[in-house]
Amino acid sequence: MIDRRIRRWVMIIFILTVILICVSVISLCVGAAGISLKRIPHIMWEGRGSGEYSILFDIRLPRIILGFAIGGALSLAGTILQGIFRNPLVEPYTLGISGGASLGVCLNIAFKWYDAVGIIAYPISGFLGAVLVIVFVYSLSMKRGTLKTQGILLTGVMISFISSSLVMLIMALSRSEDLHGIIFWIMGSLDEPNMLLIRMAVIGALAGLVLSYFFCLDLNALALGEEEAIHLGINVEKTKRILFILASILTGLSVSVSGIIGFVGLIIPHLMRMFTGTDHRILFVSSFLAGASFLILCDTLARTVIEPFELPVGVITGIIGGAVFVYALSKKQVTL
Amino acid sequence: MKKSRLFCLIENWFVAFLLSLAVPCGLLADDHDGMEKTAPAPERIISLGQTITERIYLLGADRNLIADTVYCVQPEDAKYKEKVGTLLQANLEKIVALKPDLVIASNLARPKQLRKLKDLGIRVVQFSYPKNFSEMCRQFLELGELLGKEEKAKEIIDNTKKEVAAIRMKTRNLPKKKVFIQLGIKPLHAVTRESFLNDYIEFAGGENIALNEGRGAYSREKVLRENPEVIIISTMGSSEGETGKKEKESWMKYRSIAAVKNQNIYIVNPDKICSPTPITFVEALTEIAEMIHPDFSDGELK
Repeated sequence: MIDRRIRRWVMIIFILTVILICVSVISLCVGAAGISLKRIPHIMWEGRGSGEYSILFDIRLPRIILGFAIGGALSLAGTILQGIFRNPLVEPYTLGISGGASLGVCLNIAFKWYDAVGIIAYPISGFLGAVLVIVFVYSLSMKRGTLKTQGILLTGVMISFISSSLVMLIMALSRSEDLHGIIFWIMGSLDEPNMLLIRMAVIGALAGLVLSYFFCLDLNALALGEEEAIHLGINVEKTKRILFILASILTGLSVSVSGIIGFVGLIIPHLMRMFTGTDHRILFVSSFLAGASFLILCDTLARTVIEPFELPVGVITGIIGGAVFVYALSKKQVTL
Repeated sequence: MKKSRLFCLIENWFVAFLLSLAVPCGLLADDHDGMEKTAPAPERIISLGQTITERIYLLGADRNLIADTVYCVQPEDAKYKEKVGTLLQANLEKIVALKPDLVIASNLARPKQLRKLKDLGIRVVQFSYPKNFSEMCRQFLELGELLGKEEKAKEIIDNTKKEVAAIRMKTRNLPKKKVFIQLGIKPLHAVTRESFLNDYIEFAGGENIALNEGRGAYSREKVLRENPEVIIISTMGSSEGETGKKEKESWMKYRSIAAVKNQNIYIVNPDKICSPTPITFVEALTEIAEMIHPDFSDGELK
């Protein structure tokens, strides 16, 4: 019985990894520059120096790596949060983290901090905004040493409303040059030039995946209900707190590097739950892999659908993700 | 983007440092700012802005222009150049594949994309949106220098300055009229001291009612209070269509405004007045001078 389950899990991980590799290779091979497939081994053989090599490995590859990290981190965060809250509508952005990050970036643009610090001011201010919101939501929902899950949700939703209104206020008062900066950022994209940030995103996402595994069994118990989990001997408070902070940091990291890319953290966890079941031991890693493949695929489409335009990747994740999700939901007749 | 030299240096150094940390081989940020003066005239130019494209054509450097944005439609020939995206979002791959030796960007370009291009060793020059006429002239001369067309640029600017001076001479002694240039309808957006559009009003012998507004946002109440004698509507996007006409009608309801009483409400093409080259600046200035002073026509006083 156990043997069969493990075999099934290994199979799932294997399939998802193969999909991830395929999507990455496809993404590396297609693009506006129109480099033919046959030439790619040749370009790789010749090595650095040619313009085509530069397109493949300095433009496309960093985007794929970042897509892997961000897609993985967001869907992992979504899985964790849906697990803690036992609420299918929760996603990383519900908790106001993205709102806080956008507010941070808007303030950076409006007060021209980037003039003083350089382009690195964007991710830093985004991350600071996200952290501030996390601290705020967290401390507001802590009552007598327990973390009220319903409280967190409501506070988070309200904080997102407040920050989006403040963002709107800043936009209304800002000059047209600054407006573009804000809109670009809100649309989100994976074209990050700074390799250090990309590395940080990858390391952060993988570290988050490893850390989450220390709590997968606790989260499984929590699925039965908080009372039941306590009776099973789980330290529910500690689990909730650590997982909440972990998911928030994963989200904050993704948002501050790539801007707001919606839907990945909502749809992928649901889709994976349909395929793999609700056991978090397999759900975490499969969501991570599926999220990574999904975002890389969406980014590839965003780059290539209407040449020479490059669409915001959030447009594609929303349309494709939403459509696939509704379809799967109607086919499977699953209750969430 | 205005940056002090020191900040530029620190930033360049910082980015170079980060990249050298991050990337084991190659991909180091070069310092391109230092070589601008000495570099030979570029032969493969990509323009990322419609005004920049127009200016390149004016300078006669269009043979070296290999690509531009989808919005570059002036002059006619610019439509048929290779397209690398919009002015907001360029397609980096395509730019790199075209192997340019100079990319000229507007203030609207994505900073991240420009940084990436620089990292890949492509020379990138960015022009800000000019704040006034003299800055526009200076930018044009800079562009001329960059493209090895200093003579031509100087000739065009000298001519433009002469023509502008002539218009200013003629309008100098005319009675100053209060003018409101409206950019955009919802929200109402006015031209302030910060915009070079203000120079149209000043050179044409008008007085800008929104001169000292800090931001461009303006209200109808203020327009009523300031009681402009001329209203010029240039809504972003579609003033030539129905929107401009509707806006004119909606102003007609306020009979207390002097501009309404005298029927001095005009609609102008935003492309013409908002994206200036030296040539279009003079054309637009003449047009606006005629609107402010109906007696002033064809550059002559009746």
